[in-house]
Amino acid sequence: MRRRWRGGKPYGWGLALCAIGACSGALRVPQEPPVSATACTLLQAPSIVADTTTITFDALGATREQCALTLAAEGLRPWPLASSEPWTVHLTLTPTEALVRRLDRERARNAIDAGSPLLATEDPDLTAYAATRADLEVSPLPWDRTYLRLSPRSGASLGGAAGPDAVRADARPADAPPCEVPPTTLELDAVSSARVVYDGSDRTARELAERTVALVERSDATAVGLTAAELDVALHAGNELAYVISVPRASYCDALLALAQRAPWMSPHSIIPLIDTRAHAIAPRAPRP
Amino acid sequence: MTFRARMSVAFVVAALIPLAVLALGVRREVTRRLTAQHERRVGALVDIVRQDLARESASIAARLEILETDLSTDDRFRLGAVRSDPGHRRYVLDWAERAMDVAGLSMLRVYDDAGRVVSSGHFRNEFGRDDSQLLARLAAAPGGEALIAVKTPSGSFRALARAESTSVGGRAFIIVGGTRVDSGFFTRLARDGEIDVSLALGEAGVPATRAIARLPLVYVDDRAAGVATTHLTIAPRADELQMLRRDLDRWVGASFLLAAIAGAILIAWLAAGLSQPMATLARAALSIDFNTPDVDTVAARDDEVGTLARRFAAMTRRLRAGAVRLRDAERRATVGEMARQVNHDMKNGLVPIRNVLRHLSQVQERAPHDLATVFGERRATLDSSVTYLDELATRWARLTPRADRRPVDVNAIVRDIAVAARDAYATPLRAQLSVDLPPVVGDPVALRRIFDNLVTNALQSLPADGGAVTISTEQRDRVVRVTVADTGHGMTAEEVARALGGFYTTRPQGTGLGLSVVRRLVADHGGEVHIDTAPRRGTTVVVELPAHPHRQARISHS
Repeated sequence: MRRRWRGGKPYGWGLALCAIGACSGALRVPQEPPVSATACTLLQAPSIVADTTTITFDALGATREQCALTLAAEGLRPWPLASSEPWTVHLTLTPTEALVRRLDRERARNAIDAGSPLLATEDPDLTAYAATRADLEVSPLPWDRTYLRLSPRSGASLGGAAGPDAVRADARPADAPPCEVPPTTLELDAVSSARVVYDGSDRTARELAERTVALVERSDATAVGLTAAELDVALHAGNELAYVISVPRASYCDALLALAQRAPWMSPHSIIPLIDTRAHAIAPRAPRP
Repeated sequence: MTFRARMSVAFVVAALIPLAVLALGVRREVTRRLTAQHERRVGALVDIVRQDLARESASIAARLEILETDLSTDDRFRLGAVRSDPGHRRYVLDWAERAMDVAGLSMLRVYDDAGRVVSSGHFRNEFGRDDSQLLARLAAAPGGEALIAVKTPSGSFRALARAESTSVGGRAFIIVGGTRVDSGFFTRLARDGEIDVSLALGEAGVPATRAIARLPLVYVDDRAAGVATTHLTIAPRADELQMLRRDLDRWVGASFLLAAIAGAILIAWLAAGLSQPMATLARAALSIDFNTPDVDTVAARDDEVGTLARRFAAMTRRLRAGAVRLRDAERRATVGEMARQVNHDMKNGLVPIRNVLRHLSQVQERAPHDLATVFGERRATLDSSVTYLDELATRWARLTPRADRRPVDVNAIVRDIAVAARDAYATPLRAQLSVDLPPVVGDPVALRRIFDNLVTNALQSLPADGGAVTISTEQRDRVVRVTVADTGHGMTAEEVARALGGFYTTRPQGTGLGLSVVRRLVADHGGEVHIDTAPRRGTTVVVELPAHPHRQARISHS
């Protein structure tokens, strides 16, 4: 079972199995993830305590470093209650596990300066800094998260869609596969709040919500970060101006169906895919032969 | 009103009221002076606020000038904003945030020449918004400075902002930066907190009536056309003054309370020093017994109360001596009065006997053979008189006549008296007796003395040439009335008063005790005496005695 834990409450870990090759950005159509000898598997749901957690995995045919970095980026991003800092984690590998520790900006740079780090990050500045170092190799991880804007009322004018410029992460316009989301018969009141809500621990979601506020015609619109529980309640009620939600890109359609369960008012017209994001791996450069 | 109450009233009038007047006067004067002083200081602070505002504006301008210089030499900005290099796009978007933090501003925007946001420090993701109208109004503001509404993801705030133009790579850019105008800004302006500064834009601020100065500010509202003028309202903070007033009131109240408590204690002490000796004197006055010596409980004091007590004791001694003398005089007077009463009663009792004996003597001289017959007829009168005298003698022998109260037929007593009077006097006595007269409760001898005295007085008051005496009985309500009326000389009111007082008579042989004895005996029986008389008109004496409640009571015949 693959589950991701946030604040003690489990929610979708994302893709049950992530093939390293398939996660590299080639996934264009909905399909079952390939299960092959090269797929790495999470064997146990991680439990985050403060800034650390441990992931237990089976690298199968992939390299253990690559597998650990990919699983950490996909499953532990964003880090709970850390919205103000860009997501960066340090990994320490053991034969069967990887100890994952969240780092703030300063500690991340100190780790790089200390040498031989194994980091996964979505901080473009950190990536740029690591790229200046000849002893480090910076490589992108798969596009693994898609950010959506949900608007319960189709008549609400929310301006244009927020694009990659709005976020301080490696992002591109959403390349979401077509999915069948069942239409809803639920009718909502015309009156809604002026809030654009998002997962308060997700820095990228916050930036997209702020961009939405900048673009919306209502002058009283505000961006408000919510806890996971509050966001669930708000999603179910459907009385906000808009919602910024992230879903795992590899299981996009399944995630939309799951989201439709949480937001019964959701219909195909209320979903606007905004961006895809990915993290980068920073690892010691392999010695030249 | 007790002495303590009087002391309390005196204390209120003499101490508390003047204290209140003094306190109120001091409070008023202190308040007036403090207010004037406070307003002078606030006036000086207003000038400082004006200078601070000017300094703030100059500071913003200086910081923007530095940013202009920095921007014009920033190659990465130049590449991103002028050359539109996608690789530096993010740098351009983030430039304003870094610059704002470094410059210490609350808001910072960089606009392109079309008025679109290129970079925003306080709201990174508002890039691309068209603010050309806002820039035009800001440019029209005097001094290029205005209060503007600044939108952020979580709301909006107001900022005192300036706009500066610069050129980078041949393209014009406008930098708008400013300081947040909020409670913190007002607090900084208020300096040491003696004044309240607020913006007259509907926020909770000081009322206009309290304002002592209103500094104009140009306000650019993105929802309204043109520029408007608002005001920075400055008012003295009333808290300090009110605290001073409250402190003053508290001290005044405390002094009042202290004075009242001290006054109450003082009054209690004084009252204890005066009231208790007075009460002791009062008890001594109530318990004065002229037969036992006084105990002077407060005379040892050396104050006014002690003097009063000593004088009281001296007066008591004098009264005691006087009482002894008075008792001796009363004793002597009582003996004399008793002698006179005995004399009077004996005379009244002897008159019928003397008359009967005179009658018998006349019969013996003129018709001796009828002596036995006449004696038989008059024997009853003799027996009655002797019995009466015997009874009187018995009672006087006991010195204190003992009342022998029982139901008595008044008509019977009146009849006896009429018979005796007929024998004793030439003038006939007319009796009109009520048939159904109820008995009265009394002493038969005393009742006879009453009516005997009245009839004797009436008969003796008649002139020599005749007249009439009538005695009648009747019942009115629960009263038995016996009326003795004569057509004699009558009396003046003064004579009546003197006769009732005793020892007054107009007859040479009279004792002057008749009416006084009548009044005392009637009073002993619970009755009343009414006298209607006038000179030469005769006298009518009415004796009213309470009737016996049981008409059929056993009646005693004397």
